Amino acid sequence: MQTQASGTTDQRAVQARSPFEFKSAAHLLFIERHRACNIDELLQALRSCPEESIFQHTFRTLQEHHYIKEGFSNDFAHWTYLELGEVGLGERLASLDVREFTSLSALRSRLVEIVGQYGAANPKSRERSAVAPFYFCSSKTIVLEAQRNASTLAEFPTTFQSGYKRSWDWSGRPHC
Amino acid sequence: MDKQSGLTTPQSESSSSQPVREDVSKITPEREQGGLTRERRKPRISETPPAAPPAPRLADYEAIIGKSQVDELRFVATPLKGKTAKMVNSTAVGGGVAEMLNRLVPLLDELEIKTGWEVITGGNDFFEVTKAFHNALHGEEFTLTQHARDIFMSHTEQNRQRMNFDEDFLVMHDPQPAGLIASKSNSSSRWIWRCHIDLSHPNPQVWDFLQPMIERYDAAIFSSPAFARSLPIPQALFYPCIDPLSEKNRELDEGYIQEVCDNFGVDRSRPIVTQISRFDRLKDPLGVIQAYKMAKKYVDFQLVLAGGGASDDPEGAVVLKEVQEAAGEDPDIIILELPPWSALEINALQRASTIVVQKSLKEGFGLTVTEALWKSKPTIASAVGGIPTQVIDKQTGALVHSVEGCGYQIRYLLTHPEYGAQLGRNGREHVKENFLMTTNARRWVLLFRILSGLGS
Repeated sequence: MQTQASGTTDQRAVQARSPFEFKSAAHLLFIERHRACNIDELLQALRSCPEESIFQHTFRTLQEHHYIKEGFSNDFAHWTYLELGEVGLGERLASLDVREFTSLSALRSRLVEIVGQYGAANPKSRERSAVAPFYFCSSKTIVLEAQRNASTLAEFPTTFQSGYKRSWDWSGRPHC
Repeated sequence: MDKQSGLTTPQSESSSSQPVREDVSKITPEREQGGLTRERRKPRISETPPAAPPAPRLADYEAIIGKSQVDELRFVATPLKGKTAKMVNSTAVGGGVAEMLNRLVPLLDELEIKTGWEVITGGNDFFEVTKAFHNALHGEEFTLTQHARDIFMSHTEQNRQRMNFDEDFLVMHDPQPAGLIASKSNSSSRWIWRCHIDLSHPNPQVWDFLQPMIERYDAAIFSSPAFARSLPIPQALFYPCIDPLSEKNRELDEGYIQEVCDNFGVDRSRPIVTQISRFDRLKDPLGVIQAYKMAKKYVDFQLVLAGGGASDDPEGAVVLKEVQEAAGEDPDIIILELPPWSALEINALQRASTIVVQKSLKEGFGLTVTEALWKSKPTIASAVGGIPTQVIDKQTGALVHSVEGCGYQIRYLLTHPEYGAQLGRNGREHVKENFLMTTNARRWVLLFRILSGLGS
């Protein structure tokens, strides 16, 4: 540990109790059997699709489109607005901030709630067909041990900058 | 090939190529009182294909996607070092699959996944049957006879006897080699069926014939969720991709781009709107001309329609004639018939363009759109085929559904260049994330890891 002339500790050199382990993740997209052509089918599929689908069409799509500064939210909102033409439902789905959810089951419940309420309030819209179906996909995620550690504050920025791009999600927070 | 400038000069070609240049005589201008005149040089177009450049190495992609991305790809592939793979398809030359494998196989080899590539053999009868299968799987009418089944199965069996299947990963591309799954044994080899075609509306007889074979694979890969079938095996989604280091997509010297535009009579001091496609009704070149005329009332620009298919396709020749008639004597509509080996010229035209248009009525994936997006060109494209996967409306480009929509977007993007530039930047990022050869290699590596239980 280094000490400065005045006797105080250089915090940048303080060793952490355990190192910060950088990790990365790689994702491979799979096509699921669920698809939706209207609001009723979307609701059914949202209830029964795998959690990996919910993750793919919300968190992952946000990461994939990190370069888009505005307007993009999640695949469900995008499809509802563009292919189904249900602007009101699209707006409601777009307003979801996925960062508020710490579990996929909670996110799924919220999506089902939004679509279900909209369908109940707009029965004529429920069976109107979209221009193109919504195809549910899912990601299989492989966590990669980046084999890079930082034990001190001084090491952290250098190790971080040399790390893999995918160690960061769209908002710039590292995966741990 | 002079790599510095990208110019193809006779002296830089291999000894087997012939230096050819067409006569560069100027067409005598015909001036009518008060009318438009067409004064355009006959462009110089090579009559022979240039020698293919060597395939790039993985390190060459560092300048494109960044060293950390290349390093990550190597890292992801580490558990697969020493594994073996074999790609099997129906042809070594010509077509998108062979072109893709030409790039993919060396990359996988560099990642120390020793990858072989074999081509199935068969007589004319076999390839006629598989061609018929190909068309039928695209939805064409077809009656599957016992004779056709027998031909398919007997040639499949001949190939099965000829080939070995000892590799860790065996990948069959498209229906032609699909029957080789009969060689799947209890070994640890993983079999993958890579389908490059549109299976959204297959002929039921042909699909019913192939389906039991496909279901025996460990995984299938499709290019679009719309093409996936109801199968009891995992179905991965691998988008088609471009190679950013190919002649069609690599960076070009400004001098070469200028030379190409000069050669084709394209004025770079004025806006240029381009569609690069075969002269084919499904690409709707007449619709593009209509859109041009709508937009031209408000903003000055040139329209370039460049493509091939007119000399090897009777319908293409008819379409080209229709396009020429629709263009009339307008000197701002430049129609270019290019041979199939014009990758550099197409690259230059795309880079010179202010906007790229793809107003197809039907489309597969639409790699011409991918090329344009990669070059950061504001792109206006029809919402058909795989285009909406690439052009996210108002984010990575403009999706249109009509001639009027196309005309409006041309006018809008030409008068809002900052917005167009942002679309172009987003489009390039979208391609970088999803549709590059390195992304494709990464998908293969991930799939191999998952199938061999090395998924974490």
